Amino acid sequence: MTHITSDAGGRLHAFFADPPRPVARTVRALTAVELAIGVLAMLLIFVLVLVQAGQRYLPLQGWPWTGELARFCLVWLTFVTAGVLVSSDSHIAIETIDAVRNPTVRRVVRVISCLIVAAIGALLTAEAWELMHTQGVLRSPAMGMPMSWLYAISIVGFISTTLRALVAAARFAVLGVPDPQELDDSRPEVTST
Amino acid sequence: SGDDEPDAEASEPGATAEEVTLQLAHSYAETQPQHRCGAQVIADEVAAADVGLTVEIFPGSQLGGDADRIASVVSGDIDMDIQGASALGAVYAPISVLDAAYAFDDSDHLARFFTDEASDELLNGFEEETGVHTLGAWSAGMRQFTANKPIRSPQDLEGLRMRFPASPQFLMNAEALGASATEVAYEELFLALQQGTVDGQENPIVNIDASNLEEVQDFISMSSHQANSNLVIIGGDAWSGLSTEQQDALQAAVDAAMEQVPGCVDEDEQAKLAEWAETGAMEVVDDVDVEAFRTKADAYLQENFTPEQLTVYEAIRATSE
Amino acid sequence: MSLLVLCVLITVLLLARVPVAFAFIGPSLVYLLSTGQSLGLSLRLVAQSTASFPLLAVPLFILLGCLASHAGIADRLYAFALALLGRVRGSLGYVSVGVSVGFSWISGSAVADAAALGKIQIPAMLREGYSKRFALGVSGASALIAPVMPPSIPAVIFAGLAAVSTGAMFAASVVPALLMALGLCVVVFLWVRRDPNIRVTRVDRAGLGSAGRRVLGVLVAPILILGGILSGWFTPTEAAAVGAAYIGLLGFAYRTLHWRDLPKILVEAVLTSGAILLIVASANLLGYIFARERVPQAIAEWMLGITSDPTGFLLLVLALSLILGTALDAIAVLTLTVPILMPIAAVYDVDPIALGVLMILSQMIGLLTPPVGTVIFVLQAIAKVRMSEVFWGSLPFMVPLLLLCVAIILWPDAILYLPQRLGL
Ligand code: NA
Ligand code: NA
Repeated sequence: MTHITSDAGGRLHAFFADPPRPVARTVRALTAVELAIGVLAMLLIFVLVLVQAGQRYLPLQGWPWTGELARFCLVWLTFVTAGVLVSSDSHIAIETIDAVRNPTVRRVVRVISCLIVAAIGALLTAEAWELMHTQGVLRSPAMGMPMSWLYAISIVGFISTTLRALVAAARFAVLGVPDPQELDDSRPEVTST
Repeated sequence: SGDDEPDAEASEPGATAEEVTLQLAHSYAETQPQHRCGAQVIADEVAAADVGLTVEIFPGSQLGGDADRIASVVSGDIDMDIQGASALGAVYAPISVLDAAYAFDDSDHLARFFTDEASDELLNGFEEETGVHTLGAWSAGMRQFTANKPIRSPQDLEGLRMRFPASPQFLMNAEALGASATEVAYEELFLALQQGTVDGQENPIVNIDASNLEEVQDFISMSSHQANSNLVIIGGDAWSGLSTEQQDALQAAVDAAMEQVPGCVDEDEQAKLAEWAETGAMEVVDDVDVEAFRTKADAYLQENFTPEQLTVYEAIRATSE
Repeated sequence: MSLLVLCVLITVLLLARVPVAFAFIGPSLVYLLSTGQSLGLSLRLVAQSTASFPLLAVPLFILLGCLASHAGIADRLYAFALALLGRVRGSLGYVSVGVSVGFSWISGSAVADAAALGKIQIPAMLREGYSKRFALGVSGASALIAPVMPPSIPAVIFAGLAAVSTGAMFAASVVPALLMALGLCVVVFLWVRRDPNIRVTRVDRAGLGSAGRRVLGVLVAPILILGGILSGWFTPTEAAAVGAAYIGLLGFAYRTLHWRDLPKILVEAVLTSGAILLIVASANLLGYIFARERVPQAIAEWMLGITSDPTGFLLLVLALSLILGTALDAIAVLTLTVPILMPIAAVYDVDPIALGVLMILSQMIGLLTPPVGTVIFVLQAIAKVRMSEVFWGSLPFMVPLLLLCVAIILWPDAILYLPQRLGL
């Protein structure tokens, strides 16, 4: 990040601008875990759907759980990536505020917005925690999987969302916000419709 | 509504009861008998009783799919629901035995079982385990096979890819009847049947009609292999939050619906069968060797049920005439 | 907390740049808790609406699109279209539309199309002296064909929401997508006639044969995907997986795809899927609240008070869709409005398939309008221009798209011809 408007100096600034190696390494490792779960879920969906298609043409006894597991993978994929998308700023958002010229306004709004996301992440974490403990009585029809597992894996994404949004808020507070023109190149591409 | 309030109200029958609105959710279309003669009758009867109780209906899975809603009834987020036994099996496994192949002879048998003491043990177990109270049940018709060829005996199922819902009891039924079950989501069933991705499926006539499956299937074979149970359930807090008067009115309303649904279903079924016969949309095969299917299924279930499931199965069979 | 407070809160959060998914989930969660619902209900609803079978096609079609982008499919299609149409005046404009049509049979997303093709064709047009506005406008508008032509991610999502057959949605969209292409070609023709700077590009006609052979493998993909669905080999969801497997193998065969690329492609597909699915899920949660508060019934009453005519209803839908589409993501708009509009459409006796095609088409126009137009953002990043350049450039191209919307409103039954012929 080169084009950053900033007025804060000192160690805090240095910490966010160029995090110490152990911190950076830990963040990278956590990101890798989250992405690995997401990629695994995606690959499982791919394979399970192919298996389901293939089953009809092969003299095999059908596995009724393929569709169900694929649907659960979809949930895990969705929730577990939520945090990474916060850090890379690639959640789909209405970005009108980025066009405001006053950097202080942009900075305050982004800090508040990240804090709101962190609060919602915390609420979702609480909900996931509750469901982990209450949904065990429910079992999925085909696999007989306790439904608490659905939330036990998803909670990773909500904890991550909360922490990453807090870090993002601190980053914006300390380092300021990038200029609007600089934004588009640096971001990974997330394609909607 | 607080937990200790209802007792206070119950002990003072003279006091004006609190105005209560209960949500009743289900997954059927408003044209289906489960709604017209079931949910709507419950709402109307309760309103007519004038006991400060209103039943507000949310049809067509507006509040979520079956699996979502049963979890919501357990947690108290939805007050009342109409559910199939297999969906309830997710919270209390033994109850799904109600959906076992040929457990019930017909819709009358199912009605008899639920008005008889024979069902008490099962329903009390369900309530103890989940807090959910069962107000009653009806059958929305017997499930029949559809395919592009007649299915008269278990041998006719050989080599056919039959779609069964992906829940343990339904899959067990498939095995018991001699079918090889294929998984297709309900949302993709029409297309899958039409394109021959799967060869056939099984459902009660009112559901076959609701999803227009007669457009893509040539034969309906009247195997009547399973009563399509619908249980009217209410969450524990919602139930105990009612005054005795309200509870009685609600129970009477559900009883009235239980009286009416089988007649409505039968009327709809006869009308549909006549229409299909007339238009030739689907040929009705009514010389199915039901005994062959029944014997095969019974032998399989007797052998493969757990002792707990067998107890329920035997309780049901004991009320057969 | 009332419904009004809920809606105001959501709007404030959206304007404060809170991501759409969180702006929906946060206030909904607080609303449900404040009305006495249990802790965990919101997440349960969000999770269970995500665990839907039709939605499985979404990550698979996204994976398919990511693989196609990295496997050099766009380059091959571009070379072929250029060899075919090169010598016409204004050829690069027609090529842009033509390549988008080719790519649209594989890709289900406008943004994927704009990103993959924009990188190739915008610099090429600028080199040949085409105006910036024309280059951006035609690239942006033709990218909108991808999500209309099957396979289409919005169609998959609509089919799931409206409980209609995905195959029927796909079949109904083919003709409108081709008409979009035709309409865009008309605008190219008119523009080229007025612009003296546009010359005839010099192209080697002899290259047509080899360029043709180089796209043969690509042309098998739509046969596999659509043919597979229509012939009953597999369901739409399965077709997405089969298509992704095929394009992956094709990339390896072309030697444009390597094992070392796969982690990057998978991560891109996973993150894109996550972002889209979270919006679908969050909009479903809001939809639950609306259903519980009987909002659809209220809107239905309001609409029936304005008009009793199906055409009037569809015009209202178009206006609503265009307005919401300027600021909101298409997927969010579909997920929010379809459950509300479906029962109303039944009252007006409007076919859900026609409603779906109209809504998807009008939503796609929103991708090119400020303040939030995802395709604009992509083209901006590629061409390093201001938002207004893209918008003014694409404005003439919106005319045929809007006319097409009006045509669907006037003759909704025409949409149903193909699916009915196919018996869907
Ligand atoms: Na497409
Ligand atoms: Na827009």
